[in-house]
Amino acid sequence: MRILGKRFSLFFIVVCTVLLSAFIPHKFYVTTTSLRFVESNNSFQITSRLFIEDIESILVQSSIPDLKLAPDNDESVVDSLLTNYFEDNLIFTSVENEFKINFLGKEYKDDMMVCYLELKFDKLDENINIQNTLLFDFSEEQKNIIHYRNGNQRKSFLFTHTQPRFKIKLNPL
Amino acid sequence: MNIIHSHLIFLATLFFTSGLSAQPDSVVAKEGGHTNNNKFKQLYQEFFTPNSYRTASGAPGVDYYQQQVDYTMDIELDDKNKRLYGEEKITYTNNSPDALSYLWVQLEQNIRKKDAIAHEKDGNGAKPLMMVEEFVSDYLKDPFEGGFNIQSVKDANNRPLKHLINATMMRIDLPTPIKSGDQYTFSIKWWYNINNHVENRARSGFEYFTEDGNRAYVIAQFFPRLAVYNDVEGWQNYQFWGNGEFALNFGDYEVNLTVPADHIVDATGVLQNPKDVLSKQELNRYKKAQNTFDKPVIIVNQAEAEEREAGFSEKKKTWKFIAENVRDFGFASSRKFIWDMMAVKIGSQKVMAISLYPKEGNPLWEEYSTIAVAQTLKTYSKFTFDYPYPKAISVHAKNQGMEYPMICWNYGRPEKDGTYSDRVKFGMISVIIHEVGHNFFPMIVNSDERQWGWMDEGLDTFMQYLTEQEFGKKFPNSIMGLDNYPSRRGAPSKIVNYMGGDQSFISPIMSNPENVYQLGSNAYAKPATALNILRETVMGKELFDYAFKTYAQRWMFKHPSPEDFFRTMEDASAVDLDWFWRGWFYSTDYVDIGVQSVKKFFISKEPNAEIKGKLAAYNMTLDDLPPAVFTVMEDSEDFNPEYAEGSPMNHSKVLDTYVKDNFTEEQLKGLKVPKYFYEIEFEKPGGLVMPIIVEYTFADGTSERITYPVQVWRKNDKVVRKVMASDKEITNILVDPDLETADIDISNNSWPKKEADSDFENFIKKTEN
Repeated sequence: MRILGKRFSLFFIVVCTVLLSAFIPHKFYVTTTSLRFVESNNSFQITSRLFIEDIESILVQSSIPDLKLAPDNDESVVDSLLTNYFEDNLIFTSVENEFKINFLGKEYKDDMMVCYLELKFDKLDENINIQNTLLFDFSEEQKNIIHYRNGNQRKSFLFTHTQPRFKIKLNPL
Repeated sequence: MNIIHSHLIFLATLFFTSGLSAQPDSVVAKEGGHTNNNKFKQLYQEFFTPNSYRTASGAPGVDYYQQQVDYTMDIELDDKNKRLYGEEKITYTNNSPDALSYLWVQLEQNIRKKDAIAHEKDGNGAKPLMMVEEFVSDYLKDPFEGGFNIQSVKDANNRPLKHLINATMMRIDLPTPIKSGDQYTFSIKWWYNINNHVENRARSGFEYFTEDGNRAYVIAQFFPRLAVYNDVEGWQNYQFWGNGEFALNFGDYEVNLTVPADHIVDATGVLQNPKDVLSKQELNRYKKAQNTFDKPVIIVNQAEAEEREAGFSEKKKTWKFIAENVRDFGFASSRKFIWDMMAVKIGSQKVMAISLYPKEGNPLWEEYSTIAVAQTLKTYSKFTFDYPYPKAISVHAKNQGMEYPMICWNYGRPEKDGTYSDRVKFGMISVIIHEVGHNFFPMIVNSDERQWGWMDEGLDTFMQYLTEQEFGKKFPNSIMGLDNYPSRRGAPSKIVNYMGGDQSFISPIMSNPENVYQLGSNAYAKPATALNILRETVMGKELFDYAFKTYAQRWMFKHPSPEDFFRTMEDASAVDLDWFWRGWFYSTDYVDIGVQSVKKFFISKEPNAEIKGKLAAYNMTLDDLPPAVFTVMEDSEDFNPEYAEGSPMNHSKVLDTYVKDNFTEEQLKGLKVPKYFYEIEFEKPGGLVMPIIVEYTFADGTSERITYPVQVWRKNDKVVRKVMASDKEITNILVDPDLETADIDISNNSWPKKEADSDFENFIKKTEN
């Protein structure tokens, strides 16, 4: 048996787990985001990988019913939808500030959509809170991983429905 | 030799002990012992003991046997009531050495019974989002009345046979045991309600087209089928829970399919009565196709199919098929089908490549389906054996890809206006290659899918990758704008995310399909990638291809077990692979190998402090040693900058003298003395052992590639040190330069440490351009 193309995933994730399934739930529901602090310009380079079908079904529900995510699509519409989605679901704050992330663009790689974002700090705060709820509106089983890197320091965080927030120290003193 | 010069013993002691840590100052508790946990440990504990059924070489043994089960069936499709009726006569030949007092028959349809226990196999709780059809079917509608209704089970004399149904298995109790070598004939009469496979996400059923009120049936697991009895499992009666597929016997089939008179049908086996079921025009085209090798001949075209789907005949027609030596039977039937076929030459045989699709599949299907079938048969035959069946059919089915002997269902549907994206096109070609490819694994090399998903899915996905790449080369127009066919699976880099992922959601490949996380990565992508790496990096294509073909031919029309595959791959290649199977198939370890450090060293006049210390400890002087060459590390106290000057020969009198005494004038002239010596330390944070592929780049811009065999990790699983001597300075070292090992972290792969450009940086560069 063949695993179904991701485009139908939403449908069968939901349906096939209980009934006889010719299809395998397409994967575990995980997004991975690499978060890298670049000291030279006080910024985070953010690279998020999402399954195309998952994000597509969310955007379809929330905005354009017949939206298809494919490389030959109207880029600006998709980009603005994604910008909003990331603004709502990948949030960086400190005690004093809420930071704005810039959506730089995206690439389609096989069944994944790779999104590139950047956060530029005017002034560094010591503690940064990260809230990652990407695709939590898609699946209850959704989990998100952030691989954080700052120089040689590396750390990974697992965001879940019960623990959607973590704190990182930017300037360990 | 029993007398060893004491000098040599001393020298040996120096070498063997140098590098080991000195005796600790304080006394610590003595470490306990341990069992063999070496990555190269033999697989005797994991493998079954070879025997006369299955040999240590991986071939069938002298006593190998398999049961034969032949079926004669009358089947009727009731389109109006969405029901299937059947009466089957089964002839069971007991080739085993054992007498059998009962038979187990598989009833897969029973997984659709209202009260099937399989509905409750998961514990995922409430769903935040449900498709409306699912919600309605779960909470508002009466549940679907699925499953077999067994009307009778009778012996050859029409006497009822005692039987017991346990979920998806039925035991038939025999009046007297079937002795070894005996045959037993009995019959089963049944019917069931056919499910909508689109709603149900099933492997078999119908799709309903609201626009014209027609159904397209793709029917399989539709009759009670004998379970396998063999030397490995006894009766393989592991229940059908939905994920683990099928274990089936070879046999001959004679099947009469009665369907509405205006349906077009195709099935496993050869159509016996084309004259009875085809129009004159269709028959002419059908005959023409049998000898048309260059392009598909359309038997029923789109206009004709559209005309058919408008009427609903009350009459019936019976299509007769005969199939020899198959493990199963499937068929497709609808008014909506367009039908095309072409002949393909495979070895000395002619095979028909066939497609069936409703107009909803066009224009994509007319263009690509049959040629994808043909290419699959060619490539797979080249790597295994000549395709032995007379035909291979690809049937369009919404959303599903599923395989049966000679026939399979494949997805790939354009938009309503006929347009389609590359994703739909390549998805369709890939699934056709994959499902037609399943004819080889597991339809002919008949592994037990219920127990091992990877044996057919992994091998098939590996072959799919090779076929896709050939397809791209053969039909360059199909991949316009790309260098290669965009295979989703197979390339080592594609498995990195999975293998480097969260260990709590990864299972070893050697797991039952019901119990793994991420079955797609586990049973399809990882084994396919492992075999690809085995072929291209570990064994080399020539050794791999011969061994793989040997496996396919040894087990063609037989039932192989995992060990038969593992053992054959070694047996036919003389490549020890226990470490590979252990790591890639029995564990969830991953590859991560890098360069830890690079040290320069030089030939020195004097021994270093360590050797001096040892000499003093043994109360010896330099004169007590046999002629020896000394080296010192650049970063050690013993290093003297003058060692870096001039030829290394200048710094070792012993070496200089030896060379002058032992080399001829001629040899001395051509003597190349390496000027630079390096000790490179490779680290292995990953659990998998793999050959170390290294590219050394020199100051003059040239480079040299060296592959250190995997055996280098035998005695140290964490770090190994290799020496590189060269007359040129090394400027750069890169491990796995072509990304062929699925190394999950390449940030440690280069020296001097160089941050590989991240995806982020590459993207920024690309957008700036």
